[in-house]
Amino acid sequence: MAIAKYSKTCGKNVPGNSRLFFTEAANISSITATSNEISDVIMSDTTKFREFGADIDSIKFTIEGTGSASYSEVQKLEAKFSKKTTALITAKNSLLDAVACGVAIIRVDNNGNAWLSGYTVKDKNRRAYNKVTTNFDTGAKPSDEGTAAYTITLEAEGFDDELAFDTTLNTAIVGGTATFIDYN
Amino acid sequence: MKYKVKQNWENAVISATIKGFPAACKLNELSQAQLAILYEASHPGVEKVEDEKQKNSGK
Repeated sequence: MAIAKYSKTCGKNVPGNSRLFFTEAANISSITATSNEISDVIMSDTTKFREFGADIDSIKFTIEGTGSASYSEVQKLEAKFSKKTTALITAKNSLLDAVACGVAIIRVDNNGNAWLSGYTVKDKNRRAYNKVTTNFDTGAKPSDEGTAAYTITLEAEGFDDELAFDTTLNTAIVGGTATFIDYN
Repeated sequence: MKYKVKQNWENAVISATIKGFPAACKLNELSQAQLAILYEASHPGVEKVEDEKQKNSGK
C-alpha cells in the first residue's frame, strides 16, 4: 500500500468525549462502509446500542499500537459513573455479562464525531472488547472530589482503528435519532 | 421482483454476521437472496426493481 497524502485541517480540535453507547458485538448484523466510513448499521429492534450516561469529562478512549512487520493495538475505553445506585449496579452487571461475549462501543467525541470500535469490517465482531476492570472508591469525606464513583474500563486488542460514520449517520447519532441506538 | 444495489452504493463494502453472508465484500457481489435480506432490513443501498421477465410476461 502506497503512503497516502495527508493535509492538515486548520480548525480547532476539542479533546474528550461526550456520549457513550454499548452493545454486545454479536448484536450487530452488519455494517456497510463507503469510503471507509460507516454508511449503514443493521441490528434488530430489540438489541440496539444502549446509552450509558457517564460523568461529564470522564470518558476517555486510548490506543496503544506497536509493530514492525505486523502491527497490533490495544484500545481502552474508560468512563466514570458517580453515585452508586441499584440502577448503576444493574447496568454495570449487564456490561460485565456482555464482556464475556464481546462488546462494541460507539463514542461521540467533543468535536461532534461518532466512532465505532469493537466491530471491524475485516474481523466483524471477533475483535470486540473482551476485558473489563472496575474500580469503586467511596472517598472518606464530602470534599473528596471524584470519589463515590465507579470507574469502568473496557479493553480490546486488535489491529484496526475505530471507524467513523458518514455525515448522515453521524448527524443521526449526535442528534439522537439513530435507529440502532436506545437513547436515555 | 429483483433486488438491485443503488448506484452510489456499488462500491460500499458490507461486513455482516448474518448466516450465509461471505467475508467483507462489495454490496454488488451479493446474491439476490442476500440482497433480499438487506432490503427487508431496510438497508438504504438496496432497492426492489421489477423483473424484466415478469414485466414482459404481463404484457
